[in-house]
Amino acid sequence: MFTRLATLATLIVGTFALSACGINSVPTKEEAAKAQWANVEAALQRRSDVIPNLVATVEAAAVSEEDILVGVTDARSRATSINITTDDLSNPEEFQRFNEAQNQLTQALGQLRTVVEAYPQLQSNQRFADLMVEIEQANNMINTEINRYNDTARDYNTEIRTFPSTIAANIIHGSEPLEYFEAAEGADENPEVEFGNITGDDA
Amino acid sequence: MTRPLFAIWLALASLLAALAMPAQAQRYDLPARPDGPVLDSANMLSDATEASLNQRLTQYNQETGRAIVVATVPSLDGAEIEPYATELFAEWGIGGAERDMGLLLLIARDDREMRIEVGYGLHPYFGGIMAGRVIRDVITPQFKAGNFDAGVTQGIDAILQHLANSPEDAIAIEEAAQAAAENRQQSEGGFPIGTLIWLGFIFFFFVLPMLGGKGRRRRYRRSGVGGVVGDIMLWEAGKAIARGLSDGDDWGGGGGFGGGFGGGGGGGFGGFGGGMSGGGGASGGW
Repeated sequence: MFTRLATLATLIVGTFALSACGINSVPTKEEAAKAQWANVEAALQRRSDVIPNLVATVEAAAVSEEDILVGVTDARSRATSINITTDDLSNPEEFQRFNEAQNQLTQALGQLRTVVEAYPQLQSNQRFADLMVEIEQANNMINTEINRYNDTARDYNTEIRTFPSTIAANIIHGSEPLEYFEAAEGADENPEVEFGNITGDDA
Repeated sequence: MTRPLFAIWLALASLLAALAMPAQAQRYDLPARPDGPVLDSANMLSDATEASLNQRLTQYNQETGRAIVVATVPSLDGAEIEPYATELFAEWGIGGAERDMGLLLLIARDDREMRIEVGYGLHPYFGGIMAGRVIRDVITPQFKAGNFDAGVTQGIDAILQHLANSPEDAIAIEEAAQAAAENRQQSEGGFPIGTLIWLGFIFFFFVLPMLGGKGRRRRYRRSGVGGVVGDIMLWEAGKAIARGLSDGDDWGGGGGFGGGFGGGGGGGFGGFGGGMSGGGGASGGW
């Protein structure tokens, strides 16, 4: 009798034990990270959409910083030309390229922001102020969503490398770790503008 | 007999290991969540202003489901205001979890900085550009003159006026009502009945038989009645476990989690329903 009992109990507990070894939790966390990546892309897209308006407004204000504006426009088209699918999230090279292109855009925008501070007529322009708020908001949303993406990716990476989920991750799902999105150093600060960069020798 | 038992304990241990979730790291030293929509921990607002804001924003929350929260802090302790505001927003759970209809006006007194952080749901109605205009054109001039009461009041006026142009959301109103109801009755902190059933199950079917030793097991085998009773008990225990587990899911996944703090009498504020923001909004200084 007790043997039968134990068999039954083993069956019940075994069901839970199987789910504990990562059959469910590994794909759940992977999907969570990928869903969060979609938020990152939406925030990046949002910034990308604002830039043409911003460049046009600055140009209309007769700002003689053509190099900076060209730099921003170029960085934007480079950044948008590199598309990343959720499958590329565990591809280090592709992800690195994407990461760098976006960070270059962030830096170009930072240079623009620093340079236009010298133009009072632009600073008092309501439309320009709105657009700068929009850009700053987009940058901040990108930072927020990236932090959340990195958290979910870290959660997933920990899951597939630790016992017991690592069993299912390796044997059943063949999981690969996700890459982290890293902000360029000082990307959230106002960058010091080096005039060698501005004149385009370096960029 | 020992080997299956060992396997079961191993399985149980791994189950427990899987249930132990890593705790989210707290990045900032955030102020505790207030009972109502206004927290003036930096003492920048007069009592009259605070009371009138409290009353207006609580009523607004009941009518529209949108949660507008005002918070003043003495200092950010060197943190940047943007991530601080996002973290505070999520920690307090401003707005409902489903619709995220929340907005936070955060003012850091000593840093002379402020931020309007807009929840995911409210962002289409009140984006960063509007938040920037309210800060630039309405609040900052008053703050520069030292009129904190007028700055906050007029800022809230401007926000509410702009929001009045957008349609209200029935689900958000319902979420707010739920969160308010949960605020009013002290939360009992959900007792884990599922865990208790598990423990009981383990005790009756593994610990007791082990303690009983071989003699008892032989007795089971001899009498047919004992076997039937055992089967029925197992069946009941299985059902109880299933019940307990599905209950547990309800507690975990519930949408409008009101949190465990008592609301003030007469229509509590329902603005803390687990809402999140994604860094939308605008910042400014004075």
